[in-house]
Amino acid sequence: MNPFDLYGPEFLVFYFALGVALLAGLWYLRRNAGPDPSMPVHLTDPYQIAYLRGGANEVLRLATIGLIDRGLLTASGTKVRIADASLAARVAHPVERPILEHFRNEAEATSVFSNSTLKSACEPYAAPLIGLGLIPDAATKTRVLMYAVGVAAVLVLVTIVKVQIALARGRSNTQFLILLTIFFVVAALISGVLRRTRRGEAFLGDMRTLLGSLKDRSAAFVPRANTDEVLLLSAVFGVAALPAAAYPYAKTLYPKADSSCGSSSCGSSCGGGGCGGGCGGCGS
Amino acid sequence: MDRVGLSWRPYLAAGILTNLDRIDVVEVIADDYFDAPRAKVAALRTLSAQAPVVLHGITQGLASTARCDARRLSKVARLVEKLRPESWSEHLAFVRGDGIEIGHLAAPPRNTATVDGCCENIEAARRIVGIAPAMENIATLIDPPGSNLSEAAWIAKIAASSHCPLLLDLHNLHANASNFGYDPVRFLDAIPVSQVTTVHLAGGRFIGRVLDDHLHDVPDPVYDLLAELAARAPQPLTVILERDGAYPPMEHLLTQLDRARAALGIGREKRAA
Repeated sequence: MNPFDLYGPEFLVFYFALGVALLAGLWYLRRNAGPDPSMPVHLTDPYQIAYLRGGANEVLRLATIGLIDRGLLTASGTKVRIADASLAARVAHPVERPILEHFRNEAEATSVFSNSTLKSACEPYAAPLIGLGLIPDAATKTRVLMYAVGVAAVLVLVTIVKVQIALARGRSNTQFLILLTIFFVVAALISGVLRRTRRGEAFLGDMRTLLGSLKDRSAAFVPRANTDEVLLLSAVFGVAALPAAAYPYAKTLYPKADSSCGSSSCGSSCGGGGCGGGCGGCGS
Repeated sequence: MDRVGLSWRPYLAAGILTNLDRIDVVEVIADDYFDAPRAKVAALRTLSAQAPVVLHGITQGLASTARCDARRLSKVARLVEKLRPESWSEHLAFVRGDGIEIGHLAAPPRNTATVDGCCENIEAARRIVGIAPAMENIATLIDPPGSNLSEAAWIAKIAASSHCPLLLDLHNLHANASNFGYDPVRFLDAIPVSQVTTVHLAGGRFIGRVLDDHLHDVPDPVYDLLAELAARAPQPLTVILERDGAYPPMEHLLTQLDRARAALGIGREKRAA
């Protein structure tokens, strides 16, 4: 039977089933576009974790906040500038040093995102993450994207053919079909952008679980006393997770930073903790 | 090679992960994960990829004439299977009797009956889990009635009969020695130190007696005992600092790990001399 001869609701059902099947295939491709997600990964560098979570922009956000917490940059409203040029000259980190240079003159905090030199400084973080199987390589990304484009193309083509047949037969009620097409095409194209592998997603989820308690106790952080923990918290949960009382500049400088408490147990701790007041026969 | 590490507590999670260059090993409370959701156990696997992990149990109650609970041990076995830790440990204590959960680690009477019962339970644990637990001495505020062996002699008999590794909690030793008036160094000479694989360090407070509460810094006498142990033990030692609350800044805890390393160094030098 020719599906294009199906009328109205029957064709919509066919089209819906076609769209679901094609998206399922895309989902399957995405799911297998990386190594075994259950293999644990050794990774504790906050900048690498930030890159895994949000790419170069996230690294730049994290580094800027960290440099402010260390007293090397100062924030004023939405702007940032270098605090002490002589101290800054001693910083050798490949991302932090160019950020300090960028803010030699006061500038908007978000100006880091449009600085190609800073973006380039972050790119070396990609290769190790690819090596660990946390983000897909270029070939895999292209393959998934091309499949997604193919899915979208097939669906659009089917719709065009059906609309032409319908118009030729004097029928014009194609609105539902067009809406369904838009829905599936958008879903396919969004799904075609593969940011992280399943292993990468699993790793971030595990870190959120392990560090859930950090987020819970971040309200007790003292500025400049917990910089390493601030970096790790921000890398895993986003700078938006920093307590506003101690780090008011974080939300002011980067209001659009996401909090990334999506899938996993954000905020839950990973265990009770301890034998309960001593492991040796608490007698009190 | 001797190693020094920390007990894993959620509060210390970020401090541990950001200071792994100064922490050789992490000890996790096994019982926190027996019935945990899959995601939490998976997270523990990720932790084990960042640092070596050892498991520490608290609810088996193996030092008893009562047979241990095979179902509880099966939970340890499942966790060991998923996590592949380097080792696991438990306590020379009982925690339940006649179906009543005490909720604490209690010192059993030190006699041949509990030696035999403990050895049977250790053997059951070895069978079910696949490896025998390192058995830890506990602190007690009372001398268990019905005892006719000293603590050192009791531990030595258990170690000799079961061939299990030992976890020597030096603050528990310090507390018991202080509370019951014996020389902790002579205790070290009376137990098979060659079977000690793991050491716990902790702190406590004085409430008329020394209480092991894990809420205070490790006192100087405990570091001295560590040096004494290192001078006697030919094998590498894994030393774990236990802290369950009243957390100081991370650097403060790391300084205590450095002191532990220094004490080990002193002991090893004395042994080599």
